[in-house]
Amino acid sequence: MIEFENEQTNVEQKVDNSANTLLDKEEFKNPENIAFSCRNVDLYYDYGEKHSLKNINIDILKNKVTAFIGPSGCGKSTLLRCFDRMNDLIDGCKVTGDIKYMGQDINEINTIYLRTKVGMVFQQPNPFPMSIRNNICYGPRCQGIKNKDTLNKIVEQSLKDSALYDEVSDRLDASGLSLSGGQQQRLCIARTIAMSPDVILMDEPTSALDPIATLKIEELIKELKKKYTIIIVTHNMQQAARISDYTAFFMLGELVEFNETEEFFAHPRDKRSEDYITGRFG
Amino acid sequence: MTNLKKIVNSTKETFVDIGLGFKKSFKNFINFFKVDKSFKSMNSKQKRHYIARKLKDGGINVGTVCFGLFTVAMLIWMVVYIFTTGSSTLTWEFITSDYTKESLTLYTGEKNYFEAGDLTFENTTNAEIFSEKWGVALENGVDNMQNNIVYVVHIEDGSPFNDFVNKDGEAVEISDNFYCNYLSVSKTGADFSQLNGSELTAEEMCQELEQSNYILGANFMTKGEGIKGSLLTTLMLIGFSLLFSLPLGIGAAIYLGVYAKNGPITKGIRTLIDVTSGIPSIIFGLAGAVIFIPFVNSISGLTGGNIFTGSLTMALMLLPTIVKTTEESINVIPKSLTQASLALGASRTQTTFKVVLPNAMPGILTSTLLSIGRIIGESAALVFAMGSMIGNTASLSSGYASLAVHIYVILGGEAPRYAAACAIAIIILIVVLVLSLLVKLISLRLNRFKGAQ
Repeated sequence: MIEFENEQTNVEQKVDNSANTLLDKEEFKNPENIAFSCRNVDLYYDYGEKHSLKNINIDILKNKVTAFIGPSGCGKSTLLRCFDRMNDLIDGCKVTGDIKYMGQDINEINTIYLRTKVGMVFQQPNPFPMSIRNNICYGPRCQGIKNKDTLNKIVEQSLKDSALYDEVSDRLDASGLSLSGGQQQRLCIARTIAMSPDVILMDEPTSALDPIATLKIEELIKELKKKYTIIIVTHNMQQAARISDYTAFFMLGELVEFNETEEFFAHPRDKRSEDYITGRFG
Repeated sequence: MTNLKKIVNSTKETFVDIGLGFKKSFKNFINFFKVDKSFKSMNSKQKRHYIARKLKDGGINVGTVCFGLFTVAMLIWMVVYIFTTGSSTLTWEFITSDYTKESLTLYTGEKNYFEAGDLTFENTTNAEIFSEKWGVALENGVDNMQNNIVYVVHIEDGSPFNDFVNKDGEAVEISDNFYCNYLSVSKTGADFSQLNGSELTAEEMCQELEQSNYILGANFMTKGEGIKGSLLTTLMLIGFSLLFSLPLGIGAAIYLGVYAKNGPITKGIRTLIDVTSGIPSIIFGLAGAVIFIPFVNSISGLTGGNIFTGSLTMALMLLPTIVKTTEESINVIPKSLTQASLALGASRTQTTFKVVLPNAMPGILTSTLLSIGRIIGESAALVFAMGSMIGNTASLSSGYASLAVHIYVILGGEAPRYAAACAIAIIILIVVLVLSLLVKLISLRLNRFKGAQ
């Protein structure tokens, strides 16, 4: 009887949590609007020893910027890496629950196809040690595109889209490593755009950059929003407030609150969110 | 060019360091004889202690400097000995000539002798030593063993020397690389004497010729003792060994560095590789003789050791080095690069061949150069696995000696040929020096990842 009671309370907790994290808005009801949906997602590192994500329920809208915020080690980057299955590369990492991309279970999608549709930009700018042109051509070439004209068009278009074209158009054959940090990060974004993905995942893309480069990247994100769904992980609450449409707040592997950005920062529903926003901890 | 400058600078710094070290020890040496000002104010016990410590420290300092100097002196002495002994032997001819001597015995045709007529020949060349009676110009020379020999550098038209025939009576032309081993001459027709090129100088031989009226026969020889065959064999051995070992080693390194999970099996393989790199080469030679020679011979139908058995043995020896160096250079590549490639939708294989391998290239090149150095220097294993017969040329089907084995062979026996061995040693030393400079140059390029995560 006691066990039964325990189960009951567990179920209640789950329902309770999802009330805070699944939005009851009109645009979330139409499944065609939703890029990613997570239901009861748990993630374990080190062969089940470390429980890093606990019962995550969240929907990500298409063509919107969704920001993940929270203190270090709260699992926001981990969840981000679930979306393009980069966690598969880590030994002893196990994901349970349903993650759906465009209504399809991501475990049933070919990893390579998924990663062409879901691009990722990393924390440290990490261009390949090759020329700027080859950096951008890398992804398309891996997909078997060999036509030089097509590749040149892709290079030009993605550099223009990432607001880098004017700065590097005269030295496309210079090494990608010869650019400044901010330029390198925009090159990484251009490299991702070159795959013409639907979703761009950004894992703290500005944490290694100075304020001016950060500003450029933020402007770029506002531009990119028109074409792509963007999920951005950030430590910087002001940044989340400036650029995102929706904000999700994580703590200790739990998704505490998910709401429209303005609403979230103006009227946090959860005590922990309020404490974090007002800077009482973290 | 910048790399070259870096190397020059680092070499300079090394010398400056050595110089500073000597300066420091020299200062210590001077300080040993100086006495502190506080010495006078010490009591007798302190003084005794002070002196004892000073002596002890001085002794240790002098000892370390002496040992250091001794080591440097020994190395320098070895290199200087090799260069002074070998440099006169090391000529282009030494490198390009055959090992075995070619002998050419000449006969004088039906009459069995050439008779000098009354006529005299005029010297139409600039040669100093000229026999007017026989119309030949002679010259002194040395062979590859530093023995004196006599060359016939010029034969005038109409000279009997043009009429020499071989055993079958066919006319023979003496080419430039033959020297005169001996001439059989006679003064009166009844006596007989042999003019040996190794005993007489060109001047003496010319005098003897002038006094002789008959020539009965001659023997000409090539210099021999060259290392052309061993050099070609070594080059061939390098080629085949790398051909066998590089794909295997790089493949194994990719497996260990990229695909293998860190389990007991992988750890076992790594330990095995570490152990293998410490096995003495003679044991590899044994393995080559016992395993590869029967294996290759049963496939190809050859007998004994040959270039394939040798290079397979060398490949086995080189694998640990290649695997280790390549795997290290794969591990140096930042994880963020491979992750970026995978996140762009590249497959694991594409990532390996487009991102990992190109960036591991410096490491692979380094291991290749180290391997070449090892192949050139290896002798013990090759004596058993390939063969110790010195050849005139390289051949796929027979196991001739490589350069190191050549040294082993010519130093054995009753008359060790130190000069020739030293000449080969110079070649090996220079090659190894160039290779190690190249390795340094490449490892400078490896450093470009050190700043990145």
